[in-house]
Amino acid sequence: MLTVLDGEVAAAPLRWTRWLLGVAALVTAWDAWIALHEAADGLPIRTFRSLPRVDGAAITVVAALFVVGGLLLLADRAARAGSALVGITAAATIVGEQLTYSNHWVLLIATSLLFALVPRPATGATTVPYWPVFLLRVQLSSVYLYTAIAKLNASYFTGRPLKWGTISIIDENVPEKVFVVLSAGLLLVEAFLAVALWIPRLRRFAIPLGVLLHVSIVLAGADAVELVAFQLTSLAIYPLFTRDPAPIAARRATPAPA
Amino acid sequence: MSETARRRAVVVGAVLAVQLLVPPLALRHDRPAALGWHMFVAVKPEPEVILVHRDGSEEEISMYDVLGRFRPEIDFVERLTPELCDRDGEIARVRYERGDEVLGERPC
Repeated sequence: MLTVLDGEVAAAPLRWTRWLLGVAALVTAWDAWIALHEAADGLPIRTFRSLPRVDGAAITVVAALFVVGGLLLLADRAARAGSALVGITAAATIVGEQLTYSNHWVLLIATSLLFALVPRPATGATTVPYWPVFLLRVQLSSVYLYTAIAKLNASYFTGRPLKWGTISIIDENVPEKVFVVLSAGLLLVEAFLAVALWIPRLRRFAIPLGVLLHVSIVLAGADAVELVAFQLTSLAIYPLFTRDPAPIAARRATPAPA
Repeated sequence: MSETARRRAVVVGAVLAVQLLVPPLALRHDRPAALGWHMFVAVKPEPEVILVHRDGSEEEISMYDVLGRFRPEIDFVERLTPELCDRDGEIARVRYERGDEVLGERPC
């Protein structure tokens, strides 16, 4: 626990996290545009009924805020503020109009708000405090762990949820029995990733497997925009598993390479 | 432990509690439920909506007739009913069914 609170970790991988989060925010701007316009076409499901309905102007503002946040992340200009802006915008939208609820929005909220807690390295330093990086790592493991646990139900093992979620060319041509096998495999992969990303000797398998999983979901999944945002946000955390933390004292005691 | 480390410990503890304790709560509800990471875990078709009018007549409508976007995680029994009642003063009650199962019925 002391390493979590007092440790430092290499800052270099955070560049990839920032970049992938920025792209995820831009994709979510597009997704928000679609989701909010769809929601505005019917009755609202509001958390607070006194709130005004989402209209065209509000939709434009929400999409623009995602774009601004995403660009700040990509350009590395006020990236922490940009990341916080993305998280707050997504949270406010879900609370305001529940029909926009989506797991990729929730993951984006958690990831972007946690990323906003990571300070820039001090001048000349190459490390950052480990604790916000640790929380980002836990976030990804939590997603894998709990989605695997939630899949432990009879309906899941029929293969239908996975079949229902794939693009039509796969849905219509692949037999249901194959989806039963794929479903069991997916559950095992997610359970493995929840643990293996934390174990250095298993990471060489876990990281490629996780990347393959997320790329496969983009290629085979039925709802492309939502899925791309989710996979980008998940993949944004992977670079943070490539370096392990060390206590500050240990780093200071280690001589710099010649 | 320094004051900074103590503050960090509070933040880390609070965030860990949300990350690790909120998703299990979603397991108490039908899947997929919100905030539980229930991606591809179950198929939950949209329910039928039955509007019971003040004269006793019933009218079945599709969720998609009234919602531009349907999210299976949302508690529509509580949330959608007031919106439907506001739209038409002749509606006395709203009932929600999925197959043979009555999911809930709420008066206007």
